[in-house]
Parts: sequence; structure tokens; C-alpha cells
Amino acid sequence: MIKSIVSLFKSDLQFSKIDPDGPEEGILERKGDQMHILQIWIVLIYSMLFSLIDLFLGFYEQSIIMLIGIPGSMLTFALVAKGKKLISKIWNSALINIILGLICMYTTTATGILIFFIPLIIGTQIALQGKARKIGMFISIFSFVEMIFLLIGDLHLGNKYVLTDEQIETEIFINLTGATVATLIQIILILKLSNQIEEKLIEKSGQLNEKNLELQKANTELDNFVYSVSHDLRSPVVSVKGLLALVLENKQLDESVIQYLKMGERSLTHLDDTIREILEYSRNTRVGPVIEKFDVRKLVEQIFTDLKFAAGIEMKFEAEIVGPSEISSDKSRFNTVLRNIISNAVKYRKKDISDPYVRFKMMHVENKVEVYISDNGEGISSANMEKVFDMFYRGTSTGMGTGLGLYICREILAKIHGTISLKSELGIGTMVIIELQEQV
Amino acid sequence: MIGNKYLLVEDDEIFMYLHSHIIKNIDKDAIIIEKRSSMEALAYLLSLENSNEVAPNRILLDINMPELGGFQLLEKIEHLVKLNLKDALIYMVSSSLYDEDRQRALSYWYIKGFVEKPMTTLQMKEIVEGK
Repeated sequence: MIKSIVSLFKSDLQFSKIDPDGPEEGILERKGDQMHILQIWIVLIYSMLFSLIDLFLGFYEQSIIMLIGIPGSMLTFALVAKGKKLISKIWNSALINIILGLICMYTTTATGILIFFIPLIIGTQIALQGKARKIGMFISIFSFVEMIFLLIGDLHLGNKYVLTDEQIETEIFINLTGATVATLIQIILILKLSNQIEEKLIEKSGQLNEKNLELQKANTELDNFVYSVSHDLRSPVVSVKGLLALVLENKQLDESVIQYLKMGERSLTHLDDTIREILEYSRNTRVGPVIEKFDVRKLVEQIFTDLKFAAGIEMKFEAEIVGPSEISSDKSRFNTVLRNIISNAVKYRKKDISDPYVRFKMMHVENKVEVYISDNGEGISSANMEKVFDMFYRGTSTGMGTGLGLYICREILAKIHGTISLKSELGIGTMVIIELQEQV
Repeated sequence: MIGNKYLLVEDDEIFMYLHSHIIKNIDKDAIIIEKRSSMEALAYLLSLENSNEVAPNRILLDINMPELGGFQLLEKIEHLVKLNLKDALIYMVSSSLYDEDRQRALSYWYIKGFVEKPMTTLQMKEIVEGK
């Protein structure tokens, strides 16, 4: 008994504490728990109140039945305090079912006593949420069936009370008021809790919006920063590269000097590539895709022209496009991917053959675009094939690659619904296959 | 020889030297006007409006410059583009890696092309010949 009273106070504490920073998940279950505590209080108070009223009105059996509710709800409180939430919820519903059933059997349904089944069913549904939903449903159906039986069946215990019209009116008044108050308390608490949850959600989404704006701002600032840094880093590299090219045009240079200058030039090209790739990588991760319609033929021809000038070599470029040349995707990203792959073909061409080439072919297959870029270059050995898409993996030790190019291509394509794969044979050539989903 | 009149707008000393050197290698009779800032270039271009001076027929404009960038400079002299500079081929030059800069350059009807730095002799040949 002492335990029960102690647990009663504990439960009271639990009831008054609505945790505003609790985990978002299980909100319904928490609500159910709080409703449960409230229901125990209702049972306890109603038990005391109605046993007094029945005593006063002279319905002694009913008064005694109502007294069951007092130790009954103490037990419920004790179960809550022990952490046996589910059992205490089931017990609570069962307790009300028993008391209500017994009371109904001692009185006549004309008193409107059956209306108490409404708060009972509502309460059961609220308390048994989430995983216990099925049990709640079962108890509710059981209560309903019990109510029907009590209404149409002739289940009577003890002496049948013969009530005067006046007594029936009093009973109806008491029962209706009691049931209405119980239902009302439950509904008010539901509304209060759902308001609290809504306020919390609004507050959270406000915070989220603010964070989002901050992030967007930081992203834009970072992008501007990367732009300036890459420009300022690249300018001197590129100007020295230009000067070296100018010096190399001098035909009277010593063979060894030419060698040194060319080595310097290669180093600078490598540095330049690295800057370019870091920029491409950082842009890809921070800038969202911009979808537009564009002409692939123009794009590829521009890349060929640029590379021809940059490499200063004779290499055959061929572009074949089957079907419409326009596609809709992220132009800037697609351009970066093609530039990377075509420049790989230029970089790793065979130096000792007379007809190095790069062929570009595009076709439309269903709602996809398929691109094949093939060359007769050095090729990749099957041992290296799996690793070429890894970050910082370099297939050759010539110092030409940064180990980022194909990795970036794959990352970029992943952002615009594309895939990349390779077919290659060492000493024969390479074919890169890109599949791209067109976007609207 | 060819004998074009070139206007180079470039704030970087080395690029200025490099570009005018490459031009002189290709076009022996070239007249080269070097403007080290966009404000100087703007003043020069505006002075063309009321003078008999022959306007340049090749213009190489750097995109990233302090004060006025290449694009902003062009927007200020747009009225000249239709008159004094109607025969001029205008090229934007930049070491920018941003595709947006290239796209922007190609979106102006009066810009002939976008050239990435460093400019090579091969590229400059095309500009000199106006291809």
C-alpha cells in the first residue's frame, strides 16, 4: 500500500513532466503514456466519487463495486512506477471493463450507464499506441461487444432494482455528466499535446531554415573564395608556361636546354592540372546541378579545339552523333567530364605512331544518352582497370596524371544521373563508355 | 605582311609581354596598343569616337581585372561596337577555369571567341588571320 502511494506521487511527477526535448520518434507513444497516467487518475477519482454518490443514493452493491477501482488503480500506478507500461495499460482498460460490466449488471441500462463505454474505448485507443496498437484494438472491440451484450442480454446479478422515474432521471444526469467530463478531459489533453508537438515542429523547422540559409551563404562564399584562389594560383603557373613555350620556339637552343625546359613545362602542366581538378572536385560537391538544353557537338568541338592548341600536337579528332545533338543535362558538369576523358586520350596517346586518334560517338537509347570515347593510345592493363576510378590512383609513373581525373568524372556523373565504365587493352587502346539519364 | 591593329587590355605584365611578343612573331607589321588597366582602355576607346584615328581591328580583353572587368568594360563601350569597332574582332582572354566565363563570353554577339591563357602561337595565328 505504501509502495502504491509512493508510486502514485511518482506517476504524478511523470504526468506533469512533458519533455520538450525528447526524441522526435515515439511521439505518439509518449502521448499515449501521458494519457495513460491521466486515465488512472480519472479511474481513481471516479471510483471514490461514485462509490460516495451510490452510497448516498442507497445503491450499496454499486458503491462496493466502485470501491474496487481504488486498489485497482493503485495497482496500475504501481505497474507504471515499475516501468511495466504495457501491462499497466492493459490492466487499466481491463479494470474499467470489469467495474463497468459489474455495475451494469446491478442496475438497468435505462440509466444511460453504457455511455461510459465511450470514454473507455477512446481512452484505450489513445493509451495503446504504436506497437501496442493491435492489443488496443482488441480491447476496444471486446469493450464494444461487452456493451452490446449488456444492452441486449438479460445479465443480472442480485436483486433487480426497481427505480422510480425520478431516480432514473438522477442516474441519467449523473452518468451523462460523468461520461462527458471524462471524454472532455481526454480530448482537451490530446489537443494540448498535439499543439505542443506542432509548436515544437514549427520551432524546429524555423531553426532548420536558418541553418540552411547560413549554409547556403557559406557555400556561396566558399565558392567565390575557391574561384579567386584558383585564378590567382593559376595565373602565375600559366604565365610561366606561356613564357617557356615562347622560349622553346627559338630554334637555336641547345638540345639539353630544350630537355630542361620541356621538363619544366611538364611539371607546370601537372601543377595546372592539379589546380583544375581540385577546383572541379570542390565545385561538384558544393554547387547544385543546373539543367539546360545544349548542343553536344558544339561542346565536343570546342574541347577538341582547346586541347589541340594546348597540347600543340597533331591528333585526329572525330565526332559522330546519331540522332539529335541537343541533350538536356548539366552542361558545365558534362563538359568537365568530356574534357577530362578526351584530355586523357591526348595525354596517353602513343608517341611512336603516325595516326593517333580520339573518336567521340553519341547516341540516344530510350531516355538515355550513350557516349563512347575511344582512342588507339597506350591502354590500361587489366590489373589496373579496377583501380583507375579510385581517388589519387595513378596508372602510370610518367608524372602526367594527378590521380583525380577519372575519380572526379565518376563523382560528377553520379550527381547528374550518369555512369562511367571502361574497356581497354594494353597497347591497343581504350574506350570510355558514359551513360547519362536526360533530365528535364 | 598582315599589319593588323591590336588592342591588348591586360593587367598582368608577363601576359602582356607574352601576347604582344607572339603577335609580333606572326604579324611583323602589327601595330600594338597596350593598355595595362581597364580604365586606361576605356579612356582610349571612348577617345576613338570623335577622332580620325584608325580603330583597332583585333581586341584581346582580359576578363579578370581590378576596377572594371573585361565584360563590364565591353558593356560600357557597347555603342562603339556598332560604329567605330564594327570591323573589330573581340576576344575574351582568361585563365579562368569556370565554364560560366566561357559561356558568358560566347553569349555576346559581338564577342568572337574565348581564349584560355596561356595563349599559344597556334591560337594567336587564328586570331591574327581572323579565323
